[in-house]
This record gives sequence, C-alpha cells and structure tokens, in this order.
Amino acid sequence: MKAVLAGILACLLIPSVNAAEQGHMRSTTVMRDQPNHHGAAVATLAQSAPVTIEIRSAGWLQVKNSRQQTGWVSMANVQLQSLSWRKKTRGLFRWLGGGNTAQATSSTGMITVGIRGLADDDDHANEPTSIEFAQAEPNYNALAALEKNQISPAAAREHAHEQQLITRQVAP
Amino acid sequence: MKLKNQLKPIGLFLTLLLVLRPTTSIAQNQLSTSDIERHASALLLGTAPLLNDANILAYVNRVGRWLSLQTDHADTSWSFGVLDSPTVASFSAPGNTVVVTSGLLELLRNETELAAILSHEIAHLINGDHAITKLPPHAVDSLPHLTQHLRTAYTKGVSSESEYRADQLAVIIAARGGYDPYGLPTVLQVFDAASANDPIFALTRKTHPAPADRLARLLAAMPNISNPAGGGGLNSSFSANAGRNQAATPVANISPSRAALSAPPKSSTPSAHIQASPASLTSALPSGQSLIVKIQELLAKQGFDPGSTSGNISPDFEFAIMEYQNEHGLAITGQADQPLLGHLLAQ
Repeated sequence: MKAVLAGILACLLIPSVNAAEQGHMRSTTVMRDQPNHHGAAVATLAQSAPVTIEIRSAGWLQVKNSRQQTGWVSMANVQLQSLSWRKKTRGLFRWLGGGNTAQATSSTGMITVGIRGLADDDDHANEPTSIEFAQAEPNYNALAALEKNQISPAAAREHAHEQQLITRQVAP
Repeated sequence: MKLKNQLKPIGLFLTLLLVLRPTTSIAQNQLSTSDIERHASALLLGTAPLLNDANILAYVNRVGRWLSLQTDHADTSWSFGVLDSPTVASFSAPGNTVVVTSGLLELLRNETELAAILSHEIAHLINGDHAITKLPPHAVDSLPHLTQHLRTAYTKGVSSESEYRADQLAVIIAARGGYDPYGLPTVLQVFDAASANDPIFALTRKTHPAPADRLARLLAAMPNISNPAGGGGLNSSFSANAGRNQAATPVANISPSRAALSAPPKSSTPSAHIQASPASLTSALPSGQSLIVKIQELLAKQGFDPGSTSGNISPDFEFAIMEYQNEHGLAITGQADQPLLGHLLAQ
C-alpha cells in the first residue's frame, strides 16, 4: 500500500511549497492558466515584477504575483532573485552527508552553515581553495585516486535501477 | 599489372600516414596520447584537493558513469571526481575525466541537476572539444610546455558555440538516461541569479557565455530535443536488461536515496527563515491552520527536526521533509504539500 502511494505521489504534479524561490520577470509576460502557450491569460506581469516560484513543469514555472494570482510563465522569462536560499540549504552536498570535513565545529557543538565560503556574510579567512590554474601543478597522486574510484558499467546500471531511471530513445 | 602491385603497398602506406598523422606528430615529439591525457587530468586535479568523502565521490561516479553509458563512448573508462573548493565549476579533460566542485554540489538541489552538469561535461568530450589532436605542436613536445599551454587553455575555456552545442547534447544524454531534460535549464537559471561580482562564479563567468544566453538558446532548441522520437544511439541492450520499456513521461526531480549512501545526515543550526504559505494550500485545512505548521508539528512528533514548528520555512524544514520521504520510500521532493500531510496523518 505504501509502495502504491509512493508511486502515485511520484507520478502526480502537485502544487507544493518548496524552497519558495523568489524571482522577477525579465520582460512583460502573459501569465497563463496552463504550462504552455495555449493556456488562457490569467494576468499580465510587467517587466521586473516580483514573483514567487511555486513549481516547475518542463520549461514552465508556476508563479504567484504580488496580488496572489497564480499562473504559468516560461522559465526564460523569469530571473531568480538571488542564490541565497540555495546557498543556505547547501543542497545535494548536504543531502549526501558532506560538509563536516574541513568545517570547524563551533563552540556550541553545531556545524555552522555556510562556513565553506557560500554564505552571503561569509568569513573569507576560512575559505578553502578556489580554483586557479595560473600556478597549478599536476597532481598525479590525486589522479591515481580518481582512477581508483572508477566504477563499472554494471555498478552504474545498479544505481539507475535503484533510482528507477527509465532510459529513453532521444535522437540528436 | 606488376606496376600496380608495386604501387599497392605505397598507397596503403600513404593511407596509413593520413589516418595516423596526428598521433605520428605527437609520437615524434615524445609525449604519447596517454601522457597528454593523464597530464591534463592531473593538472586539473592540481588546482584543489580531491574531496575527502568516499561516499560523495562514489555517488558522483555512479551518476556520471550511468550518463556515459547513454553515449557512443560507453565502452571506454570514465573518471568522475569532486574538487574540494567553493568555486562553482565543472570541468572535463581529455581521457574522459569529469570533475565538479563541492561548491557546485552545494548549489544543486537534486540528482537531476547533477546529471545535467555531468551531461554537459560528457557532451564536451563526446563533441571532441578537448581533442588532443587540436593541441599545437609546441604544447606537446614536453610536459612543462604542456602544463603551460593547459593552464591558459583551462582558463580560457572553449568557444561559445562549443558551449551551446554541449548544452544541447547534454539535454539529450540526460533524457536518454531517464532524467528530466529540463535539469540543465534549471541549473542555468540558478547560475544566472549569481550576482556579477560573486567570486565563486568568477571562473565559470570567464569560461562560458552568459547563463541567460545559454538558457534562451537551450529553451529555444528544447522542443526538438525533448521529443522522445526513437532512433537515437541508445544502448538498447541496457533497456532489455532493465526490463523496462521506453516511457515518454519526463521523470520528476530525483534525489539520491539515502539507502544507497552510508553517511548519516548531519545536524545543523537553523539558519535564515523565509515566510511562505500559499493560500491555495492552506484552504483545505481546518480554520485557516497552516499546512506548513501542521507538517512541521507532525514531523517533529516523529523525531525529525523541521527547524521550526511555527510556520517558518528554513533549509532544515526542507531537509527534514526529504529525510522523512526517504525513510518512508516516498519520492524525495523536499516539498511540503497535501500528499505529504496525508502521509504524515496516516502514521
């Protein structure tokens, strides 16, 4: 039953609250009631009008304007306000359990979010290496480690199976 | 007749010479193809330490290798790595090496977005953008010269046209692998939001066309790309192995299952809070009670840390939802919605 429910949930496109990303319109745009060009006009959003992004369906975003009207606009017409939310959530890196290596644990015993140089008010003294090529020297030990980490096609297929990835034929 | 026979070996020799010309010139200058490839990768890895996290390295390899199987370079070996650096960047080097930074992983939200980035780098390699035959002779006559040349080449990047082409192929590779083809447009939209002087984007800004331009070009090309009409060079034997038929439905954003990773989640302090509770979602709840508050209360009751139980949405809230969804085998979306509430109430 649980599996069935999970399956249903996975298949539905449901309005939901996620990171509540804020954005604004790149250009004056008609907001539609469906995620395609055939949807009926709900409202016209002026250039620079702020919007809250709710969900995405293919290349369309469901947004809400300041008058609490909701509708769909093409991704191309929306610019995200800032990266601050993403920087704070630390996304996939945190989800994968990363981040406690070089990070100092604060005196309260809690890991400080953003110490890796991503928070807006970051202390640059703690910033780890930024990528520079000018002085870079080849690191063959790291290369050996990298090559040791290579995995087989079978292991990759196992991952795809676990993630229920379904291959598709897509012509270039 | 006799003359023709005598000419045959000469013709063969000339053909061979034409075919082998790039390799021959390299051989004359002593550096072998493998030397050059390994040096290019080693130099890339000389810019920052490899991330000291075996789980993440293995994970990125699994996603990357899977994507490589969707190309006609499936049978060669591929290396994927993570550099421990706040710089938001990804790289590819000849010899099928693909590297992302930990700073980039922090900005990505799910596996779909990671797959988009890895596909872009794989696309550069498939397109031959880093083909070593393109290297000037003086760059391949010694390792120090090669180092010098590559330092500049990495900093300069490839042409804008090559980037646009890589974006378009990336979408195809990701879609073939079962990922939402709109992962890359989503990532480009995120890159576009970076402020012009954000130092972690300096390198990507220098080496790539503006994200907004890439996004516009890619979206314009998407109707052709996302059409799952058959005939692509997909490795069909895999489809048979997986026991699944092709599906045209785009797959939702996917986060890696925690079960596949041994690392436990980390606790952290709640950081900034953002107020959000759309009216459309609260309408179904009794007496205006916020959906968010209810979900937070139920999550807390079940031992998850939503960061707040008063309706504030924080990164910890999203994370707690993802943990809950993972524990219960639900699609991991991090989204607070009615089905999630329904599931929580049924516990």
